[in-house]
Amino acid sequence: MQNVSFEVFEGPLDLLLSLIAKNEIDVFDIPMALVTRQYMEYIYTAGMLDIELATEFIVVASQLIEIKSQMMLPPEEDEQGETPPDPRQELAERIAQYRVFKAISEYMKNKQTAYYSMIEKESEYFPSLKEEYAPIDAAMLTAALKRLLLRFDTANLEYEEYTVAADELAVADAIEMVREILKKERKASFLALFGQRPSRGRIISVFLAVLEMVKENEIEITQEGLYGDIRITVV
Amino acid sequence: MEDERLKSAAEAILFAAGQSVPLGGIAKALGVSDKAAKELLEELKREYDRANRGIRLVQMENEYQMLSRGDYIEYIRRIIRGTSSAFMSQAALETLAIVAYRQPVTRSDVEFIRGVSSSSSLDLLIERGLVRPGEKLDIPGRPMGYETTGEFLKLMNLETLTDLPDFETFSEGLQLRLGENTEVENG
Repeated sequence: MQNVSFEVFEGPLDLLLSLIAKNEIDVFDIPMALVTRQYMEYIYTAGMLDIELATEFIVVASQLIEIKSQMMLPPEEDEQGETPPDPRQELAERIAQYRVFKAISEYMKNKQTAYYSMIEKESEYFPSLKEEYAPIDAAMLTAALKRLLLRFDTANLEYEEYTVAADELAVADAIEMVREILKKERKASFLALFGQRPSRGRIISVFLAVLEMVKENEIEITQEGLYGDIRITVV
Repeated sequence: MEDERLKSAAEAILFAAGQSVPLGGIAKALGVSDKAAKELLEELKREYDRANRGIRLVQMENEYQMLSRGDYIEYIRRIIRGTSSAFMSQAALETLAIVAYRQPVTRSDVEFIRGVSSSSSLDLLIERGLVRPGEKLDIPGRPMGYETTGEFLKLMNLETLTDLPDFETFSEGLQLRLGENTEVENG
């Protein structure tokens, strides 16, 4: 997504906002001819290498041209004798709203320095801290895997010689193993599945086994709060 | 005397946990009411602040957490590596602003307001713990509504979401009203 031309603008609304500021015009009284011309000039000179971003810019370009053409027609009064709304209004409101959110984002940006100056201690695992187990998502699972790899220090091993070992525990075997564990209790702790000092390969196999079993709707996984242990229950 | 002891116990719990601890949990552990526990924690917070201690107590809605005081970050960085901060992109900040003031908000509403695809920004905010998927909204398609977290309050240095400055604060000074000072043109 690296496109030099687009680094300046977050999107079409951002571009419009900058044109409005540059020309010192009122958001609610945009001279359509001028702004549309400058907008199109930008699109052409930018080259539009990024297809997805280009699409978003072109959608707004077509809106600009539509508004411009509507404004060339005299406004028709309806039965009540009322004039229709300014064709620019909807876009103007969007730009105005975006401008407020941009101002808020500036405000939030300035909060970061203080925020990143506060350090928190790595959380401990206290089962009783959070009362309820909550459903978890992929991001929480990834975090759990990362912590697991760190805990057993496999991430920090230095390999002087690299030997590729045969699979000591295939995923299918790991599934069997997890089933075996669940047979007795119908529920288990995620951490407990790995046993003492497992190898990296074993961690990954068991992790994949759990994912596979969730996918097959065989087990259910829940987690008590961020960084808590994950509980596995037979569906 | 008993209060002093309970206050120290609360301090010990917060240190041991590291993560934020719900008020109810602390109260239960101390064997006192939520209100009494809150008073102890407020007192502890004031003590830390008064002495400008290296640790401060942060409240996020009904949870409390112990954090190092920002004033001393330079000293921490001299000895502990890996505390560098990853500042958010403009796209992520805009997305966060929209979630904060429009929550619960759908992915597509965020994209409409920004005018660009915002999925990766939203995912980044979720990964950083500033935003979380909340309830599915009761509108067609039952889309997920996204909301801010306690971590977001920490970023904004607020104790509760209602302390967030009004949306109108930011629109003041920005020209917003159509028709007040402009005439409709005919092309």
